[in-house]
Amino acid sequence: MGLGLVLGLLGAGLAVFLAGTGSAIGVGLTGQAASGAVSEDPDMFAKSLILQIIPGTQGIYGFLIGFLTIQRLGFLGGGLASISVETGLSLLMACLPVGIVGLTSAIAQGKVTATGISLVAKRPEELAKAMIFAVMVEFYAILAFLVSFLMLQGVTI
Amino acid sequence: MEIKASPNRMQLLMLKRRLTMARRGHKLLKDKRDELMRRFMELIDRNRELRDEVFAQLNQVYQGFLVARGVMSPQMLEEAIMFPKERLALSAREENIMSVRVPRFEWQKEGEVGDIYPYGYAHTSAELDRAIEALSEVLPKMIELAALEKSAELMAEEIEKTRRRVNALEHVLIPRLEETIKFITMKLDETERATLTRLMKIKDMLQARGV
Amino acid sequence: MGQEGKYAYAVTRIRVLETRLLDRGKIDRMLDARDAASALRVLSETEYAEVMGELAEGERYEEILGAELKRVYQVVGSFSPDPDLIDLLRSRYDFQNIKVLLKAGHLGIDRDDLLVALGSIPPDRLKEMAAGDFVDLPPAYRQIVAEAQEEFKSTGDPQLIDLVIDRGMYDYLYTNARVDFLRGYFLRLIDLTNIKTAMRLKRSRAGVIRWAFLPHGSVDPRLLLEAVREPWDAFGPKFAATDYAAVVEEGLRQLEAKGTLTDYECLVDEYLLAYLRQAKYVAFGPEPILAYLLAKELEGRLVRLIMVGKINNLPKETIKERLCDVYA
Repeated sequence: MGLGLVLGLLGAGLAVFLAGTGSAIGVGLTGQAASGAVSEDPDMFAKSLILQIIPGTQGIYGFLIGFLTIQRLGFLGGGLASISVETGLSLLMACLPVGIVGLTSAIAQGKVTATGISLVAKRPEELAKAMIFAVMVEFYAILAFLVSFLMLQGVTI
Repeated sequence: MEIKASPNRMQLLMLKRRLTMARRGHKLLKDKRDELMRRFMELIDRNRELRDEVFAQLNQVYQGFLVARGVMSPQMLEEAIMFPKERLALSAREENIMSVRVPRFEWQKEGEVGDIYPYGYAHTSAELDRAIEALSEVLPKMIELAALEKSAELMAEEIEKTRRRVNALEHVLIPRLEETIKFITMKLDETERATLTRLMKIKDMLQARGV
Repeated sequence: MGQEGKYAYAVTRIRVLETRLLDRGKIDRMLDARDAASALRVLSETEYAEVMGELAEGERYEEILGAELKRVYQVVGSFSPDPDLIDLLRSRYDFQNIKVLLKAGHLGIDRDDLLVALGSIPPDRLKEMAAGDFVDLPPAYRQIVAEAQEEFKSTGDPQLIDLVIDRGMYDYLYTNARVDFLRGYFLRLIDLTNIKTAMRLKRSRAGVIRWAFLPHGSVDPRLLLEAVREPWDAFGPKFAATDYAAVVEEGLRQLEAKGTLTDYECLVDEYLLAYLRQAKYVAFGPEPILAYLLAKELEGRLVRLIMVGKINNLPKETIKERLCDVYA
C-alpha cells in the first residue's frame, strides 16, 4: 500500500469527518432550539423536525464524496488500485471542498434553522420562509459538493 | 288645663310673680335662641365653605393615589408611605360659645426634616407626590372641619333645647299661668260680690226689722 | 459551540413564551370590558389562566399578578443559562423587602404582608436575617443596608432609608449587569429616573436632597442640579444634547398642559420598551430572556392600571391615556 493510497484515504476521511461534524453541530443546535419550542408548545414538533433535518444534508454530501473516493481506490472489491502520490494528493484535494464547506455551512445553517424555529414559534405560518433562509446556505454546500464531485471524476486512476 | 291653686290672694300674688318671671325668661330664652341661630348659621356657612374646599382637595388626593395605585404595586406603595416623616401632635380643649362647650383642636407638626415626602424617588410614581402634598395641605383644614362639625352638632342640640324651652314657656306655662290668674281673679271677684250681696242682704234685713 | 449552543434552547423557548404575552388586542378588549369582572374574564383566556384558578373576582387581581410574575420567574429561571442575571433582576425585590423590614423594624411594627416572594432571598429567610441585624446578608447587600441604617440613625429621616437603598441598589445592579444589553437598560432607567426626580424636586420645591439622584447615570449630576435650580424654561434645553431630548421635551409639554408627570412616566416606559425590543433581533444570547422578564413586569403594570381603572369606574379614555405600548 503506497503513500498515494493513504493520501486518497485521508481525503475520503476528511470529507466524511468535516462535513459530518458540521452537520452534527448544526442538527444538534437546531435540536436544542426545537426542544425549547416543543417544551412550551408540543405542536411545534413536526415543523421543528423539518428545519432540523436541513443542516444534516452536508453530512450526506460528505458521505457521498467519501464513498465515491473509497470506491475509486478499490476498497470495495476488485483489488486495491496502485496509485501514485500525485493521484493520491489529487483525490485528497478533491475531497477538501465538500469537507471544509460542509463543516462551515452546516454550522451556519444550524444557526439559521435554530432561529428559524424561533420564527416559526412566533409565526407558525412562516415555516416556508424559515426554510428558504436555510436553503440559501444549502446552496453553497451544493456548490462545494458539485466541485468535489467533478474533481473526483476528473482524477484518472 | 289650669294649675291647681286655692283661689286666694296669696296664691294670686305668687302666680303673678311667676308669670312675670316666665315672661322675662321667655324673652331671654328667645334672645338666646336667636343669637344661637345667628351663630349657628355663621358656623354652617363656614362649615359648608370649608367642606367644599376639603372635598375638592381630597378629590385631588384620591386621584393622585389612584394613579399611583395604578402604576405601583400595592407593596411598593405601602412601603413608600409606611414610615411617615412628620408626626402631628393634636391637643383638644373646650371653648364656650353662648354656654355651649365646643371643641377646639390645636396641632403641631413634629419631627419635620427636609420635606414632607417619606419615600425615595426611584420607585415611586410622581403622582404620589401630589397626593401627599395635597394631603398635607388638607390635613389642617380637616382638623378644623372636624371641630366645626362637632360645634355645629353641639349648637344644634343647644338650639333645639332652647327652642323647646321657649315653646314650653310660650305655649304651656305662660298660658296656664294666665288662665289660673284669670280664674283666681274671677273667683276672688265672685267671692267679693257674694260677700257684698250678703252684706247688703243683712243690711236690708236689719232695716226691715227696724233696728 | 459557545454562545449558540448555550442559548439555542432558552431563546427559542422564550420566543414561544413571547407569543403568549398580552398583545394590543387583548389589552384593548380589557379596556372595553364593561366592568372589572369581565376584564378579568379576558385575562383568563390568556396564559394568566394558569395562576387564576379560583381567584376570578375583580378585587383579587393583585394576587393574580403576583402569582403570575412568580410563575414566570420560576419558569424562566429553570432554563435560563444565566442564573446570575435572573438573580440580579430578582435582587430588586430583595431590596424592596429590605426597605420594608428596615422601616417596620424602626417603627416596631409587623408588615410581613408587604414582603414579596419574588426576590432571590425568600422573605422568611430575609426576615430571619433582619432579626439578626442583617449580618447574614450577602456582603454587597450588607454594606448598603449598613449605610442606610447609619444615615437613618444620624438624621431620623425615613426618606433616607429609601434614598440610600435605591442608590445602593442601582449601583449594585449596574456594576453586576455583566451583559451590555442589561447594563444599557439600567443606564437608561437611571438617567430617565434622575430626570424625573429633577422634575419632581422642582415641582414640589422639596429642596434638593443629597442622594436623591441615582449613580452611574450618563447625565451629569451637575446638569440635573442646575435643572432643578433654574427656571422651567431652562429645564428642557439642558437635556437637548442627550438621547432623551424627545422624551423630556414631550414630558415637559404635558406637564405644563395637564400638571401631571404621568405622561412622562408613560413616555419613559415606552422608551425603555423600545430599547428592550432590540432583543428581538438577538438570536443567541441572554438579551431575549432579560427582555422577556422585563416586558412581563411591564405587562403586569398595564393589567394593574386597567383593573384599578375598572374597579374605580374610570372612563376608558382616562385609563388609556396612561396605558403604554406592549412588548409583543
